[in-house]
Amino acid sequence: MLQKKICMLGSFSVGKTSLVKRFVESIFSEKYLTTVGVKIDKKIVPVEGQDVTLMLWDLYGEDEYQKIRMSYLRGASGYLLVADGTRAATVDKALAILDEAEKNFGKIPCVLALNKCDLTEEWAIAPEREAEFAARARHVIRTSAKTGEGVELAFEELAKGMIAT
Amino acid sequence: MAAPHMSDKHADDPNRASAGESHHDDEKALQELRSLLLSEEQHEIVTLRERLENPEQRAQDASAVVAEAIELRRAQGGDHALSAALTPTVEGAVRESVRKDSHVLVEALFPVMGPAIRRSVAEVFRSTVESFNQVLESTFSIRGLQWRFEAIRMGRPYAEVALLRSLVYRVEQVFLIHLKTSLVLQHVVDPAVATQDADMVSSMLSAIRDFVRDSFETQQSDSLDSLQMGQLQVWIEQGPQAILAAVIRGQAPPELRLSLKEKLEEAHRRYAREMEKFEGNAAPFEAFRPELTACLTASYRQQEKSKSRPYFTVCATALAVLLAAWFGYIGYQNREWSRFANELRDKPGIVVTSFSKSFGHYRIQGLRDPLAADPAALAQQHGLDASKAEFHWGAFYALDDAIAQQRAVKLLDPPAGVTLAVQNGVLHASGSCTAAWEHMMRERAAMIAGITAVDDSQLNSLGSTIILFDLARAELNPRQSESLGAAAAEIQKIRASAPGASFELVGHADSTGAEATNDRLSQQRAENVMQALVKLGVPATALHAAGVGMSAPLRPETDEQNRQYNRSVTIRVSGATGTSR
Repeated sequence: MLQKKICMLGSFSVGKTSLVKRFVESIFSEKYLTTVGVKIDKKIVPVEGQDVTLMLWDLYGEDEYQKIRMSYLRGASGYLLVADGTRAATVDKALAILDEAEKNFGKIPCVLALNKCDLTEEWAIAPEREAEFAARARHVIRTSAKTGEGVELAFEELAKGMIAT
Repeated sequence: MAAPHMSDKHADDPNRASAGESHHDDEKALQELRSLLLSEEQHEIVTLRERLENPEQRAQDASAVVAEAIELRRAQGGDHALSAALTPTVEGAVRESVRKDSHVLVEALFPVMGPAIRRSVAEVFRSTVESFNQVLESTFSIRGLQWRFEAIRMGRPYAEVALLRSLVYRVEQVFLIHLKTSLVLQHVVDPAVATQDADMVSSMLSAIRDFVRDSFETQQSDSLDSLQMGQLQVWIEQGPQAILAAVIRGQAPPELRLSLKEKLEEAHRRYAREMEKFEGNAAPFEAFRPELTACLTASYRQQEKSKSRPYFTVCATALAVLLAAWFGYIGYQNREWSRFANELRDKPGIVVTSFSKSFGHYRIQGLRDPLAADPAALAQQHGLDASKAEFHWGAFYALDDAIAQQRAVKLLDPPAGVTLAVQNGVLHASGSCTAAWEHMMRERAAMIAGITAVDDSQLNSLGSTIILFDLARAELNPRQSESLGAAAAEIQKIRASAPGASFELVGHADSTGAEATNDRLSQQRAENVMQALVKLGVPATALHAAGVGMSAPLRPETDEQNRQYNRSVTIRVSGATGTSR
């Protein structure tokens, strides 16, 4: 079975961990995030008739006190960028992290998940900005950790992108 | 080609033209000379050039020396490079062969697959037996008892605790991890070990290595090479493309690290290209699985051989033999006492209500007639030690015939010549007795427990009547008239109840005198008594006189008094009808 390493990137508290919690196999505690700075999960997705094992590196969200450890990104085949759709600044932050990653490790497939799409009244991303983001990412997908909307699609699109590369 | 070019360039110069013609002549001469001298070599060069430029010819030439070339390369020590060069081609050829017709390869591999599988199974079996032996050897030792206690305390199987405690080290898992992506290339695990998801563990292990390297600002070439937590260690060897991580329980020898290094080097040598181009497909590394499996080694502590062990063994064996003998003896005793208790139940006058045994001691309870056999004495007769048993008997009257007979004998005290027997509750009395005893017997017999009726048809009270005679005389002595009268009265009484009864008068003689004389004398004595009884009213037809001489003495002639008894006539009932009285 084909295996791929993907990294989840984004600001602190955009819902990265919550986004995947219900959709992945996990054996490690979430305290790894605050100690080692990463937690490994696993997800198998079907792509073009074959199963692909995604080793999901859930990285501790970057904030003003802690930067992402770039060494964790080495060898990744794709990025799942996560931003909080109710806070526009987190999208900028996610793209800045992407810039930093691409500067260090080159360009690889990337999907931008605009999370918390269930909070429609608080949505802060204008449609024209979403189109702008699409130039950077393979797909821009609205997701919700609460309802599960878009989560599977995000993984499948990312996997397809990695296989096609 | 250069010469014509130069002549064209200088064609307008006559001197130059003349010189050119001369030069041309020289060239021609040189060509002729060259062809004369080197024509053969030139031909060979042309032939060689054609040969080199012809692919078919080149293949033919190479085929003639390819085997020798490979042999030469091996002899020069270039095995690994040669293998590395040939591996992709061979692998491709094998894949293609399998794709086209898998049976070809199956048939080719069949002779080696069987032995290989058998060898693998034998190795697993050997390993299992070795582990099992370790457990068995420790099962009956003091240390084994300690482990058993520990297993109970920890709630874990004894075998698991025993194996862990006798373990020096065991390589439980080996990961071959791609360095760049942290993905598992290959993973093997000891069958006895429960593991987490190898993919996630290997990724997390790589993350921790990165974390340590980043956190402590080590040099890029430095890496985390071991982790330890309690009895568990992770030894990590890093190569340019991959890392080898071995999860070890216990204290492994340093040589193991060298072995791991060699495996990692071998993996790099065999799969350098696959590792470099790794894109997440670990299938090519499946072939390396046996190499990694060979790393799953283990070592157990040898049993300490102390000098006292033979004595311990002898003592333990002796103790075991003694215990076995003791248990055997107890078992034998139990069986014998059980059998005795069952036999006791069949004894007349004894009722066994319970039998119990406890650690070689026995207890029998029940009811016992005072006239029944003594159970303790019976136990001794069976070869059993009665002191090991407690008998608790309640008294009762048994109605068994045997006990009733004993009771009758004891209470009736029959005279000599009278026999008492009880059958189905009926007391049968037989023989001769006095009328007084007969009377007493009739009165008391009905009161004896177990006696329901009396049969005295075989009893006669005439048996005590003896008519005595003087020495060598057959005439009746007047002193015997009272006895004769009593006998006549008894005979008449008997005849009254049994009219068909007849009586035999038997004459006796002592041992003095000739036998023939005594025969006649005894006959005469009997006939004289018969006549006297007839005179007293007894019909002659009911009497029969017979002399037995000295052939049937009534008493042994030890003195004159006893001798007197043998000079007599006795009366006994013969031909009576047996009517019960």
